Amino acid sequence: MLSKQEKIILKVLGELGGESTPSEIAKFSELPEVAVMRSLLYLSSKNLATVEEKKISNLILTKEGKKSLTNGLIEKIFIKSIKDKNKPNEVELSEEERKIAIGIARRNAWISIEKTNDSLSFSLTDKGKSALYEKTPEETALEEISNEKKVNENIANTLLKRNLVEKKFDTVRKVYLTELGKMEVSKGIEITDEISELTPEMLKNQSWRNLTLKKFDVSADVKVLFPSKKHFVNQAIDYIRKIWLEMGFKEMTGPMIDTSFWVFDALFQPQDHPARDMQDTFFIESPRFGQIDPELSKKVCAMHENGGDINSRGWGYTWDERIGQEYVLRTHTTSLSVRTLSTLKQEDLPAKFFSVGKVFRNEKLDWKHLFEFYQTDGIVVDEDANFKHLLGYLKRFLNKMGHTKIRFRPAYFPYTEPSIEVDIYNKDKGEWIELLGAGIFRPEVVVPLLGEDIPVLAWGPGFGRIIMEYYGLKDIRQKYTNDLDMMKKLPIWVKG
Amino acid sequence: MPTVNFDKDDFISLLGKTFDDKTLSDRISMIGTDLENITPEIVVEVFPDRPDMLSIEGFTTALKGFMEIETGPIDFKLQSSSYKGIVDSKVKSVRPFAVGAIVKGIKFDDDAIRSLMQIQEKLHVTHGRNRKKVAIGVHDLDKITFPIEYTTKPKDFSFTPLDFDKNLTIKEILNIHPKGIVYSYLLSDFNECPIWIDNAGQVLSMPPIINSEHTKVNEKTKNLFIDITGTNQKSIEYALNIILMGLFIRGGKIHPLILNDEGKNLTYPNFNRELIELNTSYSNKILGLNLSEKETAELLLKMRYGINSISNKKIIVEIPPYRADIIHPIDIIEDISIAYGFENFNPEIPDIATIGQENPIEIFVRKTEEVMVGFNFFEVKNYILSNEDILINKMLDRKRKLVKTRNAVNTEYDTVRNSLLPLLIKTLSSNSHYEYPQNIFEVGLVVPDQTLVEKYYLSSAMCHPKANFSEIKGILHGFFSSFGLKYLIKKEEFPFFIEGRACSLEIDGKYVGKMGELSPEVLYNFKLEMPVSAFEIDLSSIFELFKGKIQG
Repeated sequence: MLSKQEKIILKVLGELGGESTPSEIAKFSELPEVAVMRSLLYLSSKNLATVEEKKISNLILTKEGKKSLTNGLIEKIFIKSIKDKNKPNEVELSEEERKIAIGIARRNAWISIEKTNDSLSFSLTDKGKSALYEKTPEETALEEISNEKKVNENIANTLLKRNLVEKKFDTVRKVYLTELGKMEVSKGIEITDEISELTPEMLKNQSWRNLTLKKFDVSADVKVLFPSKKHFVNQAIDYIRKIWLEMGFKEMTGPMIDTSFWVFDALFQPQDHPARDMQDTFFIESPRFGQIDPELSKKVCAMHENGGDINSRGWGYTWDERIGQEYVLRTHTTSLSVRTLSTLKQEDLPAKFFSVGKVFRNEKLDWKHLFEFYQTDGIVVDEDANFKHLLGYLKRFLNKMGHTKIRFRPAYFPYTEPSIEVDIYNKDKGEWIELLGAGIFRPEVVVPLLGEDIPVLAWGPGFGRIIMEYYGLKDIRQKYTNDLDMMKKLPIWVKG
Repeated sequence: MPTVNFDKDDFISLLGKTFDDKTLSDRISMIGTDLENITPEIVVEVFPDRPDMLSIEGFTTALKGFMEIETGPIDFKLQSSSYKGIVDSKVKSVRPFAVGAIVKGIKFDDDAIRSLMQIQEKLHVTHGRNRKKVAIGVHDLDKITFPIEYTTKPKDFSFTPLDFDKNLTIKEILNIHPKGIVYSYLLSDFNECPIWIDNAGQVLSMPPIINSEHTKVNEKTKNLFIDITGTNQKSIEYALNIILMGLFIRGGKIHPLILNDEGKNLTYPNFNRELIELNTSYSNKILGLNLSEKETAELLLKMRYGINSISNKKIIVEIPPYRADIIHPIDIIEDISIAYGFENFNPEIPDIATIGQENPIEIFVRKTEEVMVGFNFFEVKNYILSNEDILINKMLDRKRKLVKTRNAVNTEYDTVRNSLLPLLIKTLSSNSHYEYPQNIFEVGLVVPDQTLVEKYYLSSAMCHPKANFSEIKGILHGFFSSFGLKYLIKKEEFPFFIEGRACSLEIDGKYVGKMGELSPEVLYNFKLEMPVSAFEIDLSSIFELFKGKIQG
């Protein structure tokens, strides 16, 4: 099925003997050349016409060239000024142009130069005098180029060098009727009115009844639009929050900037533990120290030093309250878990809590490491909670995150016993990849906070790796580069 | 975590049985170490609570139990001994604790030397906290005249340190000896330094820095004296036992050292197995298992514990003398779970009725994001950490005092953000090669000042050739009315907004934010050549006003 324009063009092309150019067709069809081109593309896709393209380069005048064509070349202006007044300083050439003009005039042996009293005086030679009334080859060439005629290559190069002309690349198109096209033309072409846009007016005056709506090429490319959306990391976080909420977990919150007490000491991490080193933890400059609850401080101190009043030996060193008071950027959100434990009463149990929050590690930034990232902590506080439940919750979480092949492995954290590491299987690499740590809080952690030894299942996975895998990111920094184009094109998080 | 490399042939020969790589790597992973490589060397990361597994002998001892090649505790035999020493009370204020032992009849082949060097170094770094807590010296026994003394000497005292051919004073050692330079800080507080010296006046070592050249061990050495000093008695005893375990397994005969310390004669090593009572109903409860006392005991033997006695729901467990990590029965329970095999536990989700609940402000934050996306604004996300140049200097907002970290590795990210607005402008600046309009927003935590109160802010910016105040005001109005909030515009100037095109925002008489057109000076500072209008509001404060409505 041909559009009205296509029919017109086909008809014109037939009348022109089956061979023409787009501009010629435009002239005869009285259609704009762009419209002709567009229709020709459709015609060629329908195998009715072919368009042959050839790239050619033409010379056109530059701004300078056009000026020279009207005013004459600068060397001519220069010798003319000598002839008229012999006052070359008044010639309307810039200093730069004048220098060039002198050079050319001298090379052409049009002038002789005399030096008097530190200034130069010029006089015309015979050759110069006759040059006044003759066209130089450059001038002739300029004229020819302005009339779209060809000039020889030497003179063209001279003009190019003098920046009087420049090359313009053009595509020359030839249009031919194909055999199929010729058959179509020989059958005779009838032209009816077709419109492309339906307007409110047409609807109002019902003129659409007498019009044919043009059929579109629905497979043609269009300008693509992308929706605004939430940041892709936040989309994933929303989902993670949903996983915990569905399992009946309550959200816990707490500060990013916290005392070492909550980040380390309450978690039974000895004060000389390597994880507390300056290399790993950001310390705050001002204020440097915060408050710790004195009651709790005493209990935690006893746990560290000698195991307090439970069946533990403690770490056997002298605990320093001042170290516990130092402000840090939390290195894990497990600080929220212990803060939450310290607020629970017997009647609140059993209880399940989760959090999603930023944690900080004082590390160099590279494609694999960020100095801040998200963690999702969870605790289950229940007299009857056990190790199998811990595995159950983690398995559920990872299944929901899209990982079905998982492995639990023994691990070590100072505040959990037993401690586990969960690996996920990477099919592409054919190996287990360490994903998250978890465990049951040690009695040394629980007793000072809760007042009794109740099992507390605890975990604190990062999920950066899962997000990267989901979105196919290779460089972890991409999460915070805020490249709007990249983010627009990124698919949304569809799990829910 | 420390990584250790084990020679595979030596490993297999110590294990006493051959396995294929797959079985071996699976078992090594499941005993509680991170396996990195199985061929050509076995490379594992050992968790810091198990310094005894840092040596190849210790590691294979544990694995032999776990793989049921040999179970139960090692019976360390001690020889009779008359080696004596004394601990001078002067050391008590410097480096108070010392132990030692004698090992004879060592066949010093490559494997044994390699192993001893590795365990010594690894113990120094981890368990010994870089020699501060524990430092170990290994000496040629036959060069030593007993009794020996652990004492202190002034800094002009001299001896020939390891790898030197002349006497140096202690002061010189601390200043010029390679080890002295590295570790001198450990002694910088003291006038006198710790010295082990023998009855002939020969120095053995200057802990925790360097041994003497005199007692240097070579490939012909058959008999060893091991000295360990430190700041914690328990830690040095464990270190000694761990080292001796390796040498014992290699066929060394251990002779004790009798050390007179504060008037008491103490004999080292102490290979007694400490007793801990384990209640099996406690272990079954924690693990969710129903193991009999006998089954539990068998698992304990796999982990190389001894069983002293079994009665109703009670096992008296003997702790191997090299296990530094057992401080509570829960530690034994973890070993039961490892012996049982993590792969043999069935994950379960218990039937406990708890009700899920979100933090209400998170709900509010999510709603604000939804509204902003509805305005066709794109959400961006910046780091919480930034720097003063961005947060203050470029914003011309120099009066502020921000929360800085004092030890950041990346100086570009050493300050906690006090506002999101500068980060939005930075974001726009980095996207200037893309199509306009660019309308973006961010919701996130900021810490406005040194009171450390953390708040949720929402900041949004419109950036395009015609961005202006009225347009952003329209958005703000639509935003507030989405939440049914009435706000008040108050004229106010801000250093980063154009004068007369800025205001603060109030709800119920309370300041909740600001809005304006960004000053060209600020845009210039961020190298952004496109007008920007923006607002920033304090969601935490607004939330307080109507939080009652949020929770469903």
